[in-house]
Amino acid sequence: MISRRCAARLGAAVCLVGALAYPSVASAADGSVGGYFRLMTRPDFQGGDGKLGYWNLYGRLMNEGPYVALHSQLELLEQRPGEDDVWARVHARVEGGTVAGADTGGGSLSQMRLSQLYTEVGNILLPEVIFRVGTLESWMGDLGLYDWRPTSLLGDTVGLSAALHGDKYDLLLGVGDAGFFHNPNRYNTLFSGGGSIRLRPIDQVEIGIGAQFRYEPAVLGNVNAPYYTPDIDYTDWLRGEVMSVWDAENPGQLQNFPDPVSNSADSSKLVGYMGFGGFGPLVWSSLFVSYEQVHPDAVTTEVYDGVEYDLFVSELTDDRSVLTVAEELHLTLVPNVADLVMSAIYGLHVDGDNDVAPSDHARTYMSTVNRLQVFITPRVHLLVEGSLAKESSTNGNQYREHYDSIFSSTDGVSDSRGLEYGDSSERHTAQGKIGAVLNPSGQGIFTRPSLRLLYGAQWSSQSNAFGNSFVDSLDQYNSFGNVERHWHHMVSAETEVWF
Amino acid sequence: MFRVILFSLILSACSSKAPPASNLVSPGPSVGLFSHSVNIDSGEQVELAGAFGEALLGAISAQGFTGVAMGATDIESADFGATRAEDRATAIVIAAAQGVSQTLVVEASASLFSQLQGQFRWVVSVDATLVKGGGSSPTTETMSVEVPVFLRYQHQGEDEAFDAAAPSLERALSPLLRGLR
Repeated sequence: MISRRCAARLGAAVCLVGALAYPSVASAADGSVGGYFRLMTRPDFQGGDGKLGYWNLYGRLMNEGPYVALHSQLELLEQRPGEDDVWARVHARVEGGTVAGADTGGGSLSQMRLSQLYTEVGNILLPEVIFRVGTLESWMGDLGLYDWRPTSLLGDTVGLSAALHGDKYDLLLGVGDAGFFHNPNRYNTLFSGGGSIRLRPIDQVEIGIGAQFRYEPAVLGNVNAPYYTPDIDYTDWLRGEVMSVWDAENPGQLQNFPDPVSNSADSSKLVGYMGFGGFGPLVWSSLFVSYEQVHPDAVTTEVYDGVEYDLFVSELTDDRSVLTVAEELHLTLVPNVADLVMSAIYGLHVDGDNDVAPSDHARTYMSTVNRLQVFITPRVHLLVEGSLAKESSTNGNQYREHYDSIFSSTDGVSDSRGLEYGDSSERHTAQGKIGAVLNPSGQGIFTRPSLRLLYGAQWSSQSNAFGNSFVDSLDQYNSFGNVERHWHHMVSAETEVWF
Repeated sequence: MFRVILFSLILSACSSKAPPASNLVSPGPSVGLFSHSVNIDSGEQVELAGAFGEALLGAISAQGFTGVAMGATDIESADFGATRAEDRATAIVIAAAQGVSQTLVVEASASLFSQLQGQFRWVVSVDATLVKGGGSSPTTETMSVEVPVFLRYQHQGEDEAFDAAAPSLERALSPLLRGLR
């Protein structure tokens, strides 16, 4: 028997059912925008361009310039919770590395790019499968201190992918075309396909593998297809003397210079990932491994006797590979007091075609970056970061340790036709950074927004190892003089925001 | 002296008859709180707890009221059906049955937006309804809030997103909860 009082309450409840709208997660055609930016000012009294060192091998902090990314999402058909009806959404991202007044780009929109654009649909054709058409980039996590993604796959590909996400797994398969990415001005179809699977057997462990394969078919008659010009000597090519050597060896027969030969080209990438954590002080440990066979270049040009010649180089550039092994360890040293992130990376670039000249394709590097953040108050933190790095050139000297080092050399001996550069095959770099961080959102080494006031110092075995406008000529008529400097100091006021 | 001791004994005897702590309506102004999350894929509803639940109670407390959390078991016992709107109405009925004349009903969901520069951007969507006055003519005020949060790792999911959204949510609901006064 329901009492009168209870009945009145039930009546009120029924009235409210009508009064309260069904709460949707996102209404139809609902859009939202997220983004990221970092902006800094780093006046440099030593003549640098506002970065402490050359690149993010020494840690992204104070070695990167400004950056802006805006990512929008538009719900075309809302995804209703628990329903298996079709949903669709569009994503678009614009990003670039310039802000007015903060770098040489002046914040120009011409420096921005529409880097991602895709449509995702779910519950169509196959239940729970998410199909995407557009840009396909995916990766299995970042090296936060380096701003590095060793496991990035399909970042060069526009095409179709299918993804399936479960509590214990993520599966992705994608196919498309990477031709415009690799050679936008000389487009040729570059078939690209790949996939990845990530397993979570327990909440504390993740394992993932992935692969990508690219194939560029031979298309006889298409000037943008892969070709190779036969009988090119690698040293002549580096020096830009292929045509002059041919002319010297075959006087008056430039018109008989060998025609290019059609061939196909391929490349591939394998990635692996293992993560674990969520116990003790360990927040998460991420181990990344990637091995990439780099896609060969297409063509270079050489001007000889006032005429421009195309040299097709797929055979000179098809034996390049990159092995990367990296680890990042995120620890809560003392809860609500201090966080620590420890990172390390090793890279091996091999160029099987080049054993004569230093190159970015023939080198090794190893580095470690460690950051400690102490939470003095929930919103005022102390940041301390240090890094050590060693870079080695496989094919001889590549770095100038002294302002009066020779430019071109052979085995360290001055040689104007030498292919080496400088006086050392190794570069050693150490950096230290310290400063205050204001985090309005509270504690956490990756919590943003952050306002930082930092001091950084770098020591490098290379002289003036930072972006600069120094005159490095040893010419006797150099009126600006030379300076040798191994220490670089800098202060920085910067902000970094995800929104 | 005897009268003082007798009065104390009577007072303690009365207080021992109070209901269990979980259903206790604290002295002073009380606000019933029914909150749950909806999984965007499965539609499963789970009672909100952790930092998110504490933030809701904190937001009520900041207005000088005492939040009384009502659990999912209360809802199931009422058996008013599965739709969320009915759950809300059920919550109000239960609140009224416990002597709470004002109820805050919160429904939240979290969805992954995108990977963005080394972080995973999630959006926590919250629909909050404040129901004032029991009886046959309650009034309602509603508010919808979207809180973007950023998680460092891909294995982090809904629960971490709710926790990360808690500080912002506590502040965002203030305008609605000022209506309690």
